[in-house]
Amino acid sequence: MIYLLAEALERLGGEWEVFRILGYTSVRGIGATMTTLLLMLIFAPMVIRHLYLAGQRDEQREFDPQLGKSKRGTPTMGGVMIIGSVLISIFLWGNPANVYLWATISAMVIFGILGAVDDLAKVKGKSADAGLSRGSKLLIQTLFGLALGCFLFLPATTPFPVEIRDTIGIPFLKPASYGGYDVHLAWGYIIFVTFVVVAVSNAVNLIDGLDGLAASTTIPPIMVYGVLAFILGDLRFNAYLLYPSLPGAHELIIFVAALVGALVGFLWFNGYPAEVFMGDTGSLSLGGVLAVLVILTKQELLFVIAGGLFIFVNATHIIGDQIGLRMLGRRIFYRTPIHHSFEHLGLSETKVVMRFFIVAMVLALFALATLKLR
Amino acid sequence: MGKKKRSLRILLTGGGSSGHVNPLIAIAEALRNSESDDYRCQSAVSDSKSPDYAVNHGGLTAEDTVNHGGLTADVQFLYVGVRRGLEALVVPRHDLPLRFACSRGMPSSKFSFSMLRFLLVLKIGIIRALIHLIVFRPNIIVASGGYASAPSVFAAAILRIITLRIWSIPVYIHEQNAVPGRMNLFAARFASMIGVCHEDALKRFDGRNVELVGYPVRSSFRIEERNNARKQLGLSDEDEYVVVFGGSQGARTINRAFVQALPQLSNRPNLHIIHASGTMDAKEYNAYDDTEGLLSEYRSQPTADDSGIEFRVQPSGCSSADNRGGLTAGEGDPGFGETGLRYNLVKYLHDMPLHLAAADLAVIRAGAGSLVEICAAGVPAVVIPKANLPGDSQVANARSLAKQGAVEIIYEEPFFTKNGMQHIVSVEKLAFKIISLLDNPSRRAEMSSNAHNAFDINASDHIAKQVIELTRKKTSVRTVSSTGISARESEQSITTSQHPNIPTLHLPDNPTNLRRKIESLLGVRWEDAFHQGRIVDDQLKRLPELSYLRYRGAALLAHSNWMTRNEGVKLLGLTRYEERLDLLSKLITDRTPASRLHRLLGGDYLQPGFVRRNALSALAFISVWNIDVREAVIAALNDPYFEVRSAALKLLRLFDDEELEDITEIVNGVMECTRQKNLEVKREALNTFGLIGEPEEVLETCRPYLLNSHVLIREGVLKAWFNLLERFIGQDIGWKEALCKDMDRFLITSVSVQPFFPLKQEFTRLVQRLGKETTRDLPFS
Repeated sequence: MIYLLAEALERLGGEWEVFRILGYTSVRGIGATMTTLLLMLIFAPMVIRHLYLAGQRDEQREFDPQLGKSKRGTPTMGGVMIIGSVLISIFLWGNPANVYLWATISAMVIFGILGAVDDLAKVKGKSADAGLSRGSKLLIQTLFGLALGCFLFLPATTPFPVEIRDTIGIPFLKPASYGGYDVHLAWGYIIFVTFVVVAVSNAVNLIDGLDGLAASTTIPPIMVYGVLAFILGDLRFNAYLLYPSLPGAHELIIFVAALVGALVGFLWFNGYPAEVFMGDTGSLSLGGVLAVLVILTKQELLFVIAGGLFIFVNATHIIGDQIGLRMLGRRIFYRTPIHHSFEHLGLSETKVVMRFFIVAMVLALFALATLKLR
Repeated sequence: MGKKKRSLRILLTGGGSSGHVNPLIAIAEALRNSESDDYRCQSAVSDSKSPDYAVNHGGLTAEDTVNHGGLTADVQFLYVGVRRGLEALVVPRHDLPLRFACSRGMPSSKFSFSMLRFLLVLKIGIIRALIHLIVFRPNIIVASGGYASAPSVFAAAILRIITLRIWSIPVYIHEQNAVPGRMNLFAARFASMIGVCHEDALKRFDGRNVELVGYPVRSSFRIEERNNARKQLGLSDEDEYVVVFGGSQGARTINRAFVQALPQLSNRPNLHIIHASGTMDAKEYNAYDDTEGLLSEYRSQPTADDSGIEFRVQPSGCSSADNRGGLTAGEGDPGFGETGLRYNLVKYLHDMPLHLAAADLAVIRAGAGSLVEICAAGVPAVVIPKANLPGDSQVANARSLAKQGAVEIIYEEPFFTKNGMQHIVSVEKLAFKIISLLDNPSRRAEMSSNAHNAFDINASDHIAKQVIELTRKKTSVRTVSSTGISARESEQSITTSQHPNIPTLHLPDNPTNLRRKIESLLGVRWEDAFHQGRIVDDQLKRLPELSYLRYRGAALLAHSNWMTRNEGVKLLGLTRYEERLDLLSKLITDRTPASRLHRLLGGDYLQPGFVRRNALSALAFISVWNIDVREAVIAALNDPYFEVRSAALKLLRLFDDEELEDITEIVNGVMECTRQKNLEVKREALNTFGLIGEPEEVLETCRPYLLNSHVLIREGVLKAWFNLLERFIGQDIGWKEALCKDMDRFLITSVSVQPFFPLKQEFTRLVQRLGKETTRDLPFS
């Protein structure tokens, strides 16, 4: 909205040209952050009260009765606040003509709705096990992945330069346009996109188990991809750092900025002891957004570093839960998802969250360090 | 044409086992004898329209069939079954023309080769059934369920759809079980009416035209006269006659146990036995050959010969006067009297009514059909229900009849054998029960009359009436009035209480739900086993049917799925089954390796870690120390899985060291655990060691961990010290100095915090003061 306004004012010329600065990505980014943050701080207490009265109370699965605590009854589905504030902020500061922005928004909204259905089912069924089945969640995630894959692969719709639309980014490797290699997947790209969407969105869903954990650990990787988006969309930067040029990708920074603001605002209330949980509404949509950011910036393999924490949580969960608990009938780790394992060993919840955040930060810094290494 | 309209053509379909075949035969018989004015009934067919179906498949001549009863052709039957099913043997003997339409049991996995094969076979079966339908043109289809009925029912549905409901054959479904089969549940949507034998089944067909009708039984079971039957079989008044019958397929446990019980029965001079082994001849168990093999073992032993049992084995037949066609090859066996035969092994008893009428005692499986038959015949019976069926249906059947005093139950019990946990019928119990019942005629008379009372005599006639009614208002089958049903409601409630197949037990079928229910009744949680300790008598009194729950838990231990076994272990613990501690102990000490794949992924033994760990939790709920438990604990202390070790250590703390008696082996085991790397095990080991170790040794063991970085381990040290002090309370202790010294060095920084929410505490207090009037859940539940 403000972007269009700034454009219109700029066209008037004369002293109106001052408003040009409202069109700068950096200014709009800061604006987007401040907007979501303020929206959160002002309206969250009200929304939390409404969620609570509407019966959105958490049905916690008891991971370890030994710890003897109960979070039952904490208002949940706080993800709607994140989604809502980001949407408002994008509406104000985003460029509505940008395809990248729309792809990310649609991921956030679709996964948010999926999560909300799950949350509502849990509350209705009065049990953490009453939500959507694993299969139906996977199905919708897969369908979204396929749709996104087709959208990005088909020459008519792809926002990428057509010749590199089916390539994937590999850290430490120059693209062909700078004398390196491009890995072309052709139709396999659609499958690859689907895989990334399913894997990444589930990973964030799993990590949402302690107060403030999901929100704080997603901020660093999201910021990494924000920085990448800025570089990829800017000709001077990508020429210097030897990245392929993705015109328009810099608009993603507005989204990233808005989301980081919203997450920080959410942490204000979600920090231990939590007044609100994001629920699957939040964690699934965060996962979806992260997946789409990874794909749109064409830096999929960088996620192994930037999102190493998520991959660790996911891998241990699959081993511990699917193989250990269901198949072998024994624990391979003390508890999964793995953050509960640390709790089981006597670390307090706050300590676990703080340490996970530190790990996420360090991994993000590593990921940024690879920018120049190619 | 006018005559043709008046003739009633009924297609019977269903089969596989006797449970599906016999009800259909009973219904057919009732329809034949039906007093309906409109139709004069006759047995089999000789119709110009379809001469094909007059061909007799039972080895009888066509004249035989037509002359049977000597009536004109007004009711015609056609039985459509599968070639491999029991119907191929049985149906022709009842003068019913039989045709085949292939079908298979539906596999449980959705996407598999067997599913593909199932669909293919079913498709061919439906086409064949369509041909039968078009040629025979039935007025109604009576289906008893089972995969054999699928082709005909689906063919009728297809016919209805493609003729746009112009040719719509009404379908009557009879469901015999409390938990309906998948076939019947699915076919219910094409059915005009469903008759069930069980109150519970009513709910499953909710919203359809369903009624409680009872289990149809051939009238011959009722009307066969005892003296006459005994004369036919050549039995004198003093003779005792026992019928052993494990269902049409055969029951391994019954066959084996009974053969082994024979020597104990041999000192009864007047005892005669007929034993139907069953027709099953699968790779893993061939009912007849296996039983015969066991018998010849006894025969070869001199003791068996001394006992004076005469064995008579008839591989393919039955031994009575009624001896025609089908399996029977033995020609005109005159019966017992003339040969002096005392034990007779056959595959299948075709003339069950005769044998039951003559019998003094029956030993049977608790299938719904068998139970209804012995009730109809009024035979006292020893019932051996098959364990671990879905919904535990046989046990429920047997128990409800036993409550009415009609039968006595012997449960299959799980035992460890070479091949792992298996169900076995105790030979001693079986022999004892048979002998004591044979010695007690008054008890048998009582059981007999109770059995008669438990039987609903009208079921088959009732069904016959409904079927004829349906053919009359063929066009309006969908709108069979609901008032008609409600008018029968009072009648229903009577039949309900009389019907033998209704379990009085209202506990969940599913083992997990059953366990949860028990937990809530007891007011304990499984996870709290080691905090809770022994379940007290007051708690146990809250459980209904304790002996059954214990049996159920033990039975589940032989299940092939470890998750179900796991629930069985929990049931044993929660019901405090002290008599079978050997089972729990065996689970822990069983060292049968898991499959190769499982071991590759990190599994160890056939009994997974959770089962072994939970067996120890169960021992905590039971809290009895004996040689079995001791063995289990010592094995568990050396278990490869850490949770088992830590559970064993927790379990030890529930006993005083006087109780543990010879303690050195256990102390050594615990000591070993304190040296292990695993944090959980180490903590529990330190804690337990404080209770049983020598003071100096305890202090020595704890000393390296005073500054350990893991909170869990330091917690273990503190607990060990505390336990030590408690043990020597009020005594003069020499090691106090050393302890104080250690405590000075002890690191008390902690990363572990227990949250405390004053607001939630206060709220909980308020709710408790209010009583249960608020609908709010407690924040601390």
